[in-house]
Amino acid sequence: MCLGIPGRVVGMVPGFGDQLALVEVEGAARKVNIGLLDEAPAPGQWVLIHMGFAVETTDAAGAETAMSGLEMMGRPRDDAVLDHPGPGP
Amino acid sequence: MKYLDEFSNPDLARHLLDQIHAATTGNWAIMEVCGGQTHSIIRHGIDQLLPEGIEMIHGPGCPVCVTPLEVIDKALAIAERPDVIFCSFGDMLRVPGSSQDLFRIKSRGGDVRVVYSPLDALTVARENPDKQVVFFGIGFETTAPANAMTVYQAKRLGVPNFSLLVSHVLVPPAIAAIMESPSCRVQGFLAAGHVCSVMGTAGYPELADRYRVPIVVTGFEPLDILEGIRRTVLQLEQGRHELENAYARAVPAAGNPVARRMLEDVFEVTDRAWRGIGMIPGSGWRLSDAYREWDAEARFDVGGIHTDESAICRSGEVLQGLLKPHECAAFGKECTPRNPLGATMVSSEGACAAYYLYRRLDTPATRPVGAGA
Repeated sequence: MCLGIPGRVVGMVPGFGDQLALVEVEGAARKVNIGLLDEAPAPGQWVLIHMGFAVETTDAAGAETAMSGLEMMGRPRDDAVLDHPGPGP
Repeated sequence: MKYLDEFSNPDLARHLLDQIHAATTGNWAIMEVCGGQTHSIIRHGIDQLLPEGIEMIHGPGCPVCVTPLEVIDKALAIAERPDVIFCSFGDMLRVPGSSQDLFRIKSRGGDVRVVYSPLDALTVARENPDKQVVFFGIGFETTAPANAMTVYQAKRLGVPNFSLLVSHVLVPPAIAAIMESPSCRVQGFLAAGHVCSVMGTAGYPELADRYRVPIVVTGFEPLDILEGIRRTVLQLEQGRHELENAYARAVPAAGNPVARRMLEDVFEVTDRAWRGIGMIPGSGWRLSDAYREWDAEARFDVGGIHTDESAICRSGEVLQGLLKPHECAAFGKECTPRNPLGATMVSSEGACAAYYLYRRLDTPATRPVGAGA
């Protein structure tokens, strides 16, 4: 329940007080709250998403590590995106 | 027994294992706190590759597993109400309460919904102003920021029909409670890096010093775990007891400052009961006075529900490292992932479910108290 799902920022979603970003997660676009980050992530930035919030910025290697971690826990990538907040703590 | 070539980097795994074998002269009991680490250790057979003197004890690091039966019963009482839409992560739906689970309520027509984020529950609340919408907010330091932010948004946006059933728990007080227990066998800890990425490592050096116990922060990938074990063993063999950070990604000592500010605003520290362990002082969070209005426990008056744990299920002993899952008489018989008696058999992070899934019936029995060193 504690691990982040990686995604790559596409851009900000207008009209939500700069709180929502559009993030590509395994080919699907998701609206993600960025209120727990120090500053708004730039397009192209990798983030770890946890329970609908971007909680950390990372790089491509960190994103791959996070995704392989979710797979290690026995969760197919599509399921991880759609249903699960991830393992923990 | 697993084979090293199943690791992502077999050469590095062999190198770390050689170092662990070379360093180990005593008998050491090391607890991994994180449920993800437990799953990884059992799945990859890491414990079977270690020197005979090293025993891995599976700690209470599965958020589903440590949520008390009493809180599950409170959730069920709320979810049964016709005016309620009860939102939860999927893991919680199969956790047995005293007489049923959330799936049973859903199958009887209750409005129980699996959501991906507490923000989804907040959206459901805004779309259903004539219903009460409750989100089941459980977990450790990692899940708390999202729940805190959602309650903050509910207050800011004025969503009166949303509330949070809170059962948040904290890792450092649990480590202290384990070390204070007369039956404690733990001599070293692997702590979870992703917990520290929120809260930082501030509380850990004091714990290492007070209980003279090494604490090594690491991840849950097999190589992370081997490196964490290697560093822990070196400390134990050298008589050191320090906090070390072996996490692949940097864990800032201060954690995530934005999340910490949000947590300090929305939550306050409270005593919490842990399933199978009991009450641990100062080991959890509840909503602070400024946000008490969004507390589902108060809103639905379920504070009076008190439940005793199952007499058959021995998950409490498993969670304290006093019993390996397959030593329980009900393991694999009355208790399976399909029909779990306790939460450790429900969640994929639970030790019982991991043992069942990977058919680990040949693990050596738990050593008696006092046989650790």
